[in-house]
Amino acid sequence: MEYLREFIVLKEGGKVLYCNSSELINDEILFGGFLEAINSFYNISLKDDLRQIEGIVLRISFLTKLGCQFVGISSMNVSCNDAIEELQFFTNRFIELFPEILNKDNENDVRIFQRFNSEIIKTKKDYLGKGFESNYLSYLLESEDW
Amino acid sequence: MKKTLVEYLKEFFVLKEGGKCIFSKNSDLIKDESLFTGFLEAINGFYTLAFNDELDQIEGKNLRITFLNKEDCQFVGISPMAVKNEEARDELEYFADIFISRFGDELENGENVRIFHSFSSEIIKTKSQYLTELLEKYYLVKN
Repeated sequence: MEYLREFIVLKEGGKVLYCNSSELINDEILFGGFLEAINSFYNISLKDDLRQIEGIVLRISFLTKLGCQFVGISSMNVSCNDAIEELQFFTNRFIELFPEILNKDNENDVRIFQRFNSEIIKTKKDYLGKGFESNYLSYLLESEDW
Repeated sequence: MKKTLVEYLKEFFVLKEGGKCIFSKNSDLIKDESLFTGFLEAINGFYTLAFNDELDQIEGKNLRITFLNKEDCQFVGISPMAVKNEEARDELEYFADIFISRFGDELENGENVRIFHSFSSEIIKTKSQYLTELLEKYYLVKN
């Protein structure tokens, strides 16, 4: 990750499937519950979908895909587009690596998602290199998960 | 059409500590004002504690909630995402300044919230009406 300081994946009810451990979040379970509470309340009271929470220093971006909520925390010094682009990138990567998150039977054992730690330390450039999409495609094809 | 003081914000609230709402300009958007302002206070408290940061705005697909802290009050505005961020923030700041200049002394205790209700009549004024009144007051004081 280059722009995001945290990447978190939540299922319904705010259950944390994955959280890369930085020093920013001390209690990921509490934080997951908080995000779920904000999201639900925002949805119900304004009948709208939550996309972003901005502070003076930090920005929390939300992306909903396949019944999961992907959350990225970035510094406000980082441009909003860079943060969202990286969030989308790692979201897609997560979904590619763990298609089983779609399977409700597998959602109890969150340890399987810890494998993503080795992915998160890479930057998008590591994946994409010079020839952007073609390199990414080769990476995916060479990956053990295929 | 003449521009009113509130052009971009669909809703706004003035909150004191603990999420107590002392003034609100409410459209049909918020059905339960007390619950909503309590929610804002809860988000704010958690965000500040969790990140040691100050909540600035919340964006959704269609709406944006903007926060502004001034004079021990929290001013909150809700605007459509179609409105530019700067326009919404400028209007909220403008509104906050007018509110503070009008109720500076009363804001100290803020117990009797009914006194703030008169601000509703200010909001529906047009910008030119408001400026004319300000100028009249200015000349009255001067002479």
